[in-house]
Amino acid sequence: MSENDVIARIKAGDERELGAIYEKHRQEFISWVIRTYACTIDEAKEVYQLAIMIFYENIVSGRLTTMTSSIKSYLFAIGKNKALEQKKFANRFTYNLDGTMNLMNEDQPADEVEKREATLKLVEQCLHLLGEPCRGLLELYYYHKKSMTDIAENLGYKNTDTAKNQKYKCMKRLKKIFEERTLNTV
Amino acid sequence: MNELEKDIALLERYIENDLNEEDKEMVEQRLANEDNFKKLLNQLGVLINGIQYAARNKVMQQLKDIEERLPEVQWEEGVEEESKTIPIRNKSYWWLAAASVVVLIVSSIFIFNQRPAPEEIYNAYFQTYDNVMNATTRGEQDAKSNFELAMQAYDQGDYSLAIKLFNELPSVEKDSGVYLYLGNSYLVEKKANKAIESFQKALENPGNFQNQLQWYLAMGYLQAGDIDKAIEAFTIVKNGNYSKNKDADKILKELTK
Repeated sequence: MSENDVIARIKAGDERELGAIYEKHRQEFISWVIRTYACTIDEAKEVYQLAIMIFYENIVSGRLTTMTSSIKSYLFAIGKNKALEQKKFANRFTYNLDGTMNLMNEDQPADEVEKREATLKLVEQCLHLLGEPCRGLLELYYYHKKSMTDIAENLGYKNTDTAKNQKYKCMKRLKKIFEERTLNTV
Repeated sequence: MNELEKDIALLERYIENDLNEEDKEMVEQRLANEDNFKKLLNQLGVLINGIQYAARNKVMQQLKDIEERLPEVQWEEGVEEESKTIPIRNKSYWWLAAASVVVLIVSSIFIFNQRPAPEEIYNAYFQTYDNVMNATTRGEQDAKSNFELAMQAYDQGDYSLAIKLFNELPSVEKDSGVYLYLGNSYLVEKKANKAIESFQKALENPGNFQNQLQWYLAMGYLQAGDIDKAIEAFTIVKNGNYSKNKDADKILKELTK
């Protein structure tokens, strides 16, 4: 199987493929990070996990469709350019609406960063309360970037329109739970 | 769909840039005029970010679970690492060979209980700390700060010049990083006591270099032949969360033979 086939399978939602990639380059990547950046083994593992995740996000968002180099050098490039930055400013990243992730501006006030982080955590708690199938549906759509057709098929909705309507209902419920929690915490 | 669901649908399509010009204009007009509609857009933004955050955490957790199941990474066995540090077991072969020659004269118990000299261990493990401060570019002498000049001397292996330049820096500039490199330069120049002094000074306010400083402090004691203090310092490294903790463990085994 070529590396482009691997990407196609990951995009199609094959979780085992991402796990296999994780195992394949793990030894080399982690030992490289430890040697190059003199960090602990746990920090190096986190950098690797971030690199794999960014690789995944770039595939599902359509930014990475074909490999011009190898997956290995792609991962190492992410490790160098992005994951290490993120390690340095742990938890200081922000999410764009298109699903990409930005490092927060370094001179952004610390309390704003904290506030944002707290809000994201609160939404995460609300998603727990929302439960399935809503949570899965929203995550498939907004993070894993699945089409409504795929979601309808995977989650067993009659057609795309039914799935879409369900998504709006789920969003409405999430909004309600979020508002209740926000009122309770203020 | 009720009104709220319709508005959610409309705003989602607006966010995704999925509306025709006419609808887009209508949404923008409502956003300008209706506070609740604007508030809903902001809320959707927050919720979508939160959904992505939660899903991302799930993926990270899955990767951590995979990691848990796999055998530990053997990063020390890497080829590059071996070329940089000489593992003590290789280094001690000659000593074992020499020992086998004298085995006829002295009892084997004496030989195998003998530990390698601290200096031997030191030589097997010491390597200067890499310049992680800045990549020194050569040939732009004029624009360099004194710190950069000191780092350049350090990079070029001119440790006595590096020591001079580091020491000449104003005291406000002497942070833990400066003392780390100064101490390393002293170690190379075999001035163990000066090195120890530098690392101790830096450890008062170690910043990001706590682990590195502790390791080199231990190396300083080893060079000075102060075994008790070396054992104490390597024990801290061993118990810490640093890439050298396995090396520290090996050294401790040698030192406490």
